Amino acid sequence: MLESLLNGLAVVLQPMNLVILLSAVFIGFVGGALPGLSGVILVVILLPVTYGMDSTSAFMLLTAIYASTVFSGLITSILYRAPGTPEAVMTSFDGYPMTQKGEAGKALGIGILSSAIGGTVGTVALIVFTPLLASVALQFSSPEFFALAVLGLTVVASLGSDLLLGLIGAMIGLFIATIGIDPVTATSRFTFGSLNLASGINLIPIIVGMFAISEVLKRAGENSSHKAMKEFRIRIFDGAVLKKIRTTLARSSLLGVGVGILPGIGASTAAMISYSEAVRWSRHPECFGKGEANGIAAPEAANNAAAMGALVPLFALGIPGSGTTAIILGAFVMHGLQPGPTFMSANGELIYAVFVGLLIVNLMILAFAKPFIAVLSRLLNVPYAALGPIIIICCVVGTYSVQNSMFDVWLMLGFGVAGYLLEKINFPLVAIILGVVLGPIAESEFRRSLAMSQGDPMLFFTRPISATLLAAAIGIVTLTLLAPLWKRHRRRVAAA
Amino acid sequence: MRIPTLIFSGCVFAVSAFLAVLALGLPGSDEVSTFIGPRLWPLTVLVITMLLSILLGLRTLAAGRNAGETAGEAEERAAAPKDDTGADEAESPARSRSRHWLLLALVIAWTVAMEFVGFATATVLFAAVATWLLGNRNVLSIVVTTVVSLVLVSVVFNELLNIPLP
Repeated sequence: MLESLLNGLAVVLQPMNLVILLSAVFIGFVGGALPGLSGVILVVILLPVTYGMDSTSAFMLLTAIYASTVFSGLITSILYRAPGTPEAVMTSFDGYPMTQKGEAGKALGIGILSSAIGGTVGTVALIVFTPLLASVALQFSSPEFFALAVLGLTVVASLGSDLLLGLIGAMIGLFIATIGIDPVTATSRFTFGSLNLASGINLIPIIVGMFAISEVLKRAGENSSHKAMKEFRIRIFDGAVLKKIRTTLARSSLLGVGVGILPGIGASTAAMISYSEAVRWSRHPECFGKGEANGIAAPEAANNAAAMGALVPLFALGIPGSGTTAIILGAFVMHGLQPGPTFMSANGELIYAVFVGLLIVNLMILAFAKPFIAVLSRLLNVPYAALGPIIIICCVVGTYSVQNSMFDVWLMLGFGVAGYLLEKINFPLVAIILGVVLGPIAESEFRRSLAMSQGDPMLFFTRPISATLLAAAIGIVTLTLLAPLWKRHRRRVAAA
Repeated sequence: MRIPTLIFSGCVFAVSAFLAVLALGLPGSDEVSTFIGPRLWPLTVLVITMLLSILLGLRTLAAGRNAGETAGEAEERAAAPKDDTGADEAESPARSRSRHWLLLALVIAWTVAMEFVGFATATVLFAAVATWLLGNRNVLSIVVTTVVSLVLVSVVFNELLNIPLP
């Protein structure tokens, strides 16, 4: 392996490949930072460009863009509460409150460091444990995937707001995910005869509408259209902060890798689960959602680690771990390569060059994020009256470009209004996203599981891994329900 | 908070009930070749949503009775003046309260206008009017925003990134 890595390093250190990596990092920075543009869109846009390149350079470019977009989504998430990518949704929970408190520099510093550490841990795990982790993921069957989705949905219990509203949000999300043609029976569900709804509702209009458009509407309704931001200085290596978040960084990076390698789960879910775990393990869970450092470290370390983990099933099994890796899989096929069990032995140089390239990309993120954000953050001094229309234009163009669909633009505006109104009752919008993301996995694996057991639901409880995951999910919801009762009891005892 | 939450729970219940009736029309397990039909999952989700919305309504009613918070108080709180430091230009609270709806109407008008006057023309008009609507009355600033929007659309999106425009 060491020899392969050194060969990979020799390929990456060729001047042209270093230029490609650097370009990819900057393209990813810009793309991830613009709400409405995502890693998927950027990889799709650049696919035709890679035809003229050799395969190794092409995949170094695509995977480096993928890694840097996952990172850069945090910038607008923290500064504007407009996540640049779906993976950065959770980061806005504590990042934006910190910006509002005048701690944008600190929040960004935590985000950059956590992303680089998570990404590096993910890449090292990708290199060292690929065969082992792939074999673990292979042991998961439908009941385990369903149980995992249920466990993921219980994250709403830890979102810090209202469990009932969170559950309603998750259910709304699960319902939205059922719209379109049922992939198993080809039956149209809730499409009302519309061809636009036949392929379901894309995640981009929902996310952009609920998070970016609703925020612009909210800001427009405020008395002040422009709140001047104080100057901030990004401090990446802050000893006190690092001491505070080190446990979260370690836990979230490992959790991210673990979740990332499971096909179809993805970095967004890893960020959500990791955030939920950070809340659960914290001595001060009440601080989350109000500008807690661990609330930024957890999702950022996890989503970057998971993004790398999602490459494991892609390389080892030919199964994409996320939306963007599915596009990368398509790119491999277009280049005449077929990822799978024999892929590593047949294309060792390419794979190890990509691995080393990803390690270098994480170092580049650490080195170039600060000057990039310094330039980008000057936008904060632009009055919101000028920035608001530009954000709306980016959202409309970005949403339209995913499927060349004006219908998606209308959907986005609808979700924007819905998000604006729901925020009036402190509704946890992220619960809806969680339902939409996990819905297709939960339903398809549920149906497959019942088909496996001839309709016997006990299957979920007789298989050790799925039973453990479901027990954990039930335990989490029960504890969340009992916690207020326990607190009330303690208060009564104390008062007595 | 009480009235909006009650309206929300009522809407969720009504929409879920309507959709559940539609879901009943979907093929069941006995009507398709697969073991589980396309009806079970959405119907289960919608029934759970209905139950949760009832719970939310009941809890909100009970909490409102206990806390004694009235809708009037909530409205009063929502209408309370907020921090206006750094505002571009002081505006009456009534105008700023309705500004987001005006902006939404403008976005809808822009989206419709794209199909008639073209994306670039509609976007220039939108950027100028939206900047003014959001409280910026400085002509130079409006011109700069409009030019930036035009450059963003035509150069960055269209030329550099080759993103299809509406």
